[in-house]
Amino acid sequence: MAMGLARPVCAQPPATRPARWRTLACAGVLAAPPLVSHAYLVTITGGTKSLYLQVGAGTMTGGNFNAGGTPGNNTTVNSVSVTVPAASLGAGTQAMTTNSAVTASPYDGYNFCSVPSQVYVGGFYRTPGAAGNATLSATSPASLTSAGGDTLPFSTISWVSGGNGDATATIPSGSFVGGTTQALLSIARNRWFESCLQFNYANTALVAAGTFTGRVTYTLTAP
Amino acid sequence: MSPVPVARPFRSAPRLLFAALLTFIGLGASQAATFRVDDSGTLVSQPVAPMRWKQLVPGRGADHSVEARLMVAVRLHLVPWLNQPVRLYMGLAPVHSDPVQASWRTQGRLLAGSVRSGARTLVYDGTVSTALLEETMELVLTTDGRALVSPQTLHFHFEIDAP
Repeated sequence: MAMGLARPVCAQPPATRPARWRTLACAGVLAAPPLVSHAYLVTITGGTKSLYLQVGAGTMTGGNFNAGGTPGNNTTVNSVSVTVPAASLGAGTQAMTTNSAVTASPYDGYNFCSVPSQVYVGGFYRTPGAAGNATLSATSPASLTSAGGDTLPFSTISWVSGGNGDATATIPSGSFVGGTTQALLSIARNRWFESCLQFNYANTALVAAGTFTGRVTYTLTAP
Repeated sequence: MSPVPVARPFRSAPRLLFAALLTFIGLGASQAATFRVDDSGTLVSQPVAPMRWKQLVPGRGADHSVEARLMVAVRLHLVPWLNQPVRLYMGLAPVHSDPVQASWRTQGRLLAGSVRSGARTLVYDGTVSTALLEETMELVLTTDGRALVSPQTLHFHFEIDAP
């Protein structure tokens, strides 16, 4: 009753009735079931989950992501390499270079990485709700191998993380464990992350001549 | 007149009801009343509207809102108010999660505007000149996508303040 007094919500009154009769009609209808529609309904559903990871080259169409660009698949597998001169064998860390040409953040075009020294790694995890964090991980084989069957432990490869303007790198610096999958970063939902990785070869041992190769796979996993 | 005995509720009830009714009539005669408008026949282009992230990629200036666009063919039955001055509002009932914002454009018979859940916005102010008002609205719904975990049904309605 108090609600009705404050703001009666009623059926339509006859246009010609005086206000007193209109109110009485209203009071009567309050107790009756509605006979006609007094609302239209729209059901909304949540935004879709999405996950994006770019290591080295990536694909975007329609400009940078913050300007409406849409990320796409890119099958390019970039490499990092170093040639150790015979005179330098076992003499300590050698910086590696990459064939990745990505310097600009795909998010906004910011000049973030330096090439050929750094590999861009970035992405995002988009989801509604209070889901847990996503995880960026790297899976590396135990060793790099040469055509002649010689090996180098993957743990001899490390990286220094950085990026222009980043006081603290998002992805921590580290080295590959080798033969396993290692977690690199826990990523909060609805955040963009990115870093530039400079890879190094430890070069602490004398190894047989040859070209040693191995592939690391980066994975972004969301709950 | 003797006081009404507390122990006689059944006999006193009619008096109280009569007093309440008198009060109700008095208020009704002196204040504008609000009436729900029959909008039967109103159609929405998508009864279920999937919300899309406004920014597919979150970032430094993160925008976490989601939105959906749909058309609404509005039909309002206004016979009771024909030739009367009214103020017509579109309202959006409160929702259980984060507030939902609805904004719309029209073809001109109703006013464009926006409303947040739990509120109403004026869409017409003037004399009713037609028994059936038809209008097409382009409705844009926006809310915080982080909070929209499960489907949410939005209840829109029209109501009139008549003098």
